[in-house]
Amino acid sequence: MFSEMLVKLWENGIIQMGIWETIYMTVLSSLIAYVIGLPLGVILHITDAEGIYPLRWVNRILGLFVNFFRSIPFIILMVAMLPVAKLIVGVSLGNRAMIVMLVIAASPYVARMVESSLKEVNAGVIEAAQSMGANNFQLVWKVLLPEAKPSLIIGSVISMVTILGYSAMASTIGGTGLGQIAISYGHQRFNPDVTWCCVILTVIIVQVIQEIGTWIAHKTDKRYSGGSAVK
Amino acid sequence: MIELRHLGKIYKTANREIVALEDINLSVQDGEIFGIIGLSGAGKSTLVRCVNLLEKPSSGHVFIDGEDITEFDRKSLLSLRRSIGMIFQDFNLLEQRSVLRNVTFPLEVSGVKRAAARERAMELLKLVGLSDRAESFPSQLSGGQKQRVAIARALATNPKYLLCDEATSALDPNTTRSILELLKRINQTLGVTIVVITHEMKVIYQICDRVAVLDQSRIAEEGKVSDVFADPRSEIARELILPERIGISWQKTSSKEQQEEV
Ligand SMILES: Nc1ncnc2c1ncn2[C@@H]1O[C@H](COP(=O)(O)OP(=O)(O)OP(=O)(O)O)[C@@H](O)[C@H]1O
Ligand SMILES: [Mg+2]
Repeated sequence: MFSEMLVKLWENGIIQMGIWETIYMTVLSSLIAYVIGLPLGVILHITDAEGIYPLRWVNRILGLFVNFFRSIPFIILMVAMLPVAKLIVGVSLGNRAMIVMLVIAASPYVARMVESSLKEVNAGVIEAAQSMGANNFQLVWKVLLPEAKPSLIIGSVISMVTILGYSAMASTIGGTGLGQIAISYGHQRFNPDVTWCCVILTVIIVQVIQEIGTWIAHKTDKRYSGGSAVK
Repeated sequence: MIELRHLGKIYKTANREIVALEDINLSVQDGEIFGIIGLSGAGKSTLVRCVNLLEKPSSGHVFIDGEDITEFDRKSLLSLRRSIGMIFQDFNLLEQRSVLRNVTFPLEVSGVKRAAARERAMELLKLVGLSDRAESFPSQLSGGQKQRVAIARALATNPKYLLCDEATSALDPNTTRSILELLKRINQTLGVTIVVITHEMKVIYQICDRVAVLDQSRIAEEGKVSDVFADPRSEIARELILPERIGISWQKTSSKEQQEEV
């Protein structure tokens, strides 16, 4: 029923390894992308004309920068950024280089996701906090981010799924993971069942991320009487 | 004392300028409940937001206890705001925080220790009659309860002044009455000076000592509530008062009846 190749890949643990590498690349890249993208998103939001600390030029320039990276298709950005990866981690091949590329591609995306979550916070609540003498740091730290938390979590799920897609692409040109297995064992050696196996595994991983993320977001959201909000 | 001198506010939008306030002169005495009434768009919210400089006036001065706050630096302004509480039409509670942590929020912001903040918050929740809801979240409260939490929160830092922007406009008549009674009690027992913004004459009549009538960015009339009520001089005051008179005389008797029932 299965091709010899698929059986062999499984028995040698290559598929299991691919699952692990895909998850590992996705999670690690997402984390680093958030370390960079979250502050960028906050800056984009607060320096907006309607924000708590309007800075027209900072907002413009940062916005342009973010849009520039967002408008380049990942596959092209990846190739263009190989030298940058080499500069940062010393190599332009392998998973470490791929993570650099994923972070470069994902951080601007994350910044926009964060910005849109923060936009959902009711302006009246910000104004109330200002009327109590909160400074800008307190507004971000104690009002904007906590009030946007459920939406930020949902956004991070969407980002992670996008990054997982990127990581599959990245693995085809020099990384490892399910994408690479699908290309080199499935596509290039004519084993469609290997390809399909990778597809199904990816779908499962996406589903798991989605379910866990949504569950956490709902659990932490105090706006609904369900979940932990009930006394 | 709150004094507004020649206060003006012009909003500049892309294609035109909107005059929201023009040459406003007002004094709010310590210990009184001062009402500001006007139709929608008259400039009431803009006016009250100039008192704690949430909105920067385009011209004129705001004196709080004799100090011109339009000249304050950022730091003094933030600490001044801690001595002026404010409540809003749509409550503006932090939805992800429990009732208790909403009330401790202004204390946290001003650096009060956690235990002391909790204790103070519980006192205030008792004052507004919500001690048993400390661990609830805003989404689990009714409008009236939310406004009570907002009042407790606004009073947490022991402010001398309380600004209320349409605080009862989203509430039904009974709830409105109970919130107004609470404000009156706060004024009488804690000595907090209250500025009430409203478009309903009933609100002015029920709790205010003095009133200013705002019409198209200007003050049309100002005086003791009883005087303005008995003898409205401006067109706008007559317009606001006359249709209400019948309602209020009815309400006066009905609230007497209620007192007798109790
Ligand atoms: N941020 C703003 N930008 C431009 N114009 C504004 C702004 N805020 C208020 N205005 C304008 O200023 C005028 C006064 O508005 P304000 O909100 O003070 O009225 P109001 O008396 O509080 O009305 P309401 O009873 O509807 O709350 C209105 O014409 C309004 O359109
Ligand atoms: Mg208003």
